[in-house]
Amino acid sequence: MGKKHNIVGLVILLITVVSMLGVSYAGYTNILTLDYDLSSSSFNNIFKEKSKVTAELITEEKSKKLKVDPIFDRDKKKLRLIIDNPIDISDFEEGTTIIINYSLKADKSSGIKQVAPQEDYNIGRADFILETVTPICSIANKSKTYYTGSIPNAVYDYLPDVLASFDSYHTISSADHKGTMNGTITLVQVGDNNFNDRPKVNLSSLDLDDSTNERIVKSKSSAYVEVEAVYGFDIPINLDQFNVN
Amino acid sequence: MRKIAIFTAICILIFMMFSISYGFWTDQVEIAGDSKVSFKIKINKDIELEEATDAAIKLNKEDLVVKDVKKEDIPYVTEEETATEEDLVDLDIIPVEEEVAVPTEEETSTEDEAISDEPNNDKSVPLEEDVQSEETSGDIS
Repeated sequence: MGKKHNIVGLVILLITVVSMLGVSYAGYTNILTLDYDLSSSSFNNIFKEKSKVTAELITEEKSKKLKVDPIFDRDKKKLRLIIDNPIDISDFEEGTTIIINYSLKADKSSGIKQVAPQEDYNIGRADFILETVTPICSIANKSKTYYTGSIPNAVYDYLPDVLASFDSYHTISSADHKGTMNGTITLVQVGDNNFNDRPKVNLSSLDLDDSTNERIVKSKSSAYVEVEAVYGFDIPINLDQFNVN
Repeated sequence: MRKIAIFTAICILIFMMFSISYGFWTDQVEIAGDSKVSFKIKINKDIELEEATDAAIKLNKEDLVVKDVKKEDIPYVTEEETATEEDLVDLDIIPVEEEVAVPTEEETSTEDEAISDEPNNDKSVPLEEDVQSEETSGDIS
């Protein structure tokens, strides 16, 4: 009985001693918490809406500025150019060059404010691909219009799916004091479209009414189908970070 | 076999790390465009050719004898000589005469009525039948 009392007393004494040590240690020390987030810097560039977007068409004979309507998507990572003035098919021949000027800037969230400058850097091939055809075409000669209406199926089939292929070259400058980086895309046509060498469209395949056919046949001068088709292209541009020494 | 599997897994992991890190190093923007292109496609008047073929078949049925003609015997005619009046209009050599609309007699008479300053004294007089019908209708009501 006396031994049991001694053991219980010893256990209580030990607990008391450990508790006292813990309390005294807590009294001697304090806890400071340090939180630190380590993350890599972001690299995010967007098109600058305020800067003017221009496009120019250069052939062997002439150079003309194209009227463009720039449309920026929501996050300003994609720029769509609507070229308003129709380009004549004869302008698409080997060596035809289209120059597009645009401006970039670093996004507010971007830690890196500068892209690596490029000078005529080959960024691959861009094709002009058939998208849609305007709903109306006309059949005419030099002085008369015989027909204006929906496009016959034969004409749809006649239009090339790929109008022309271009080698794309990219140039981008260093950022100026406003953080604007001016870029240029140069598209150089590879190969001729050979459109004029293609066979003529047969009048019988146009499914016109008899009187229109008769008028066209009786006319001494040549008749043409005049149609406007929309061709689109996509050019992805990869940007590298500016290598700060 | 097990070693190969581990080696492949390590390769895939390293490749993924490279591609993810490359995604952070670089950025991509895109330029797209739509352009209208106008085409002028020449028409082959094949309907005329078909008619000619039909005519030729018809002539063949009539046992037409075809004679060989020497090239020297065919009189040479230049394009200018054979050009029709329509061609000259097409080439803007002859100006196109604009059609002047000549008003018809009816149109002229209505215009005269509208222009004339004389007061219109014609008064519409109801016919006897109309008057009778009105009276009849009055009796009924």
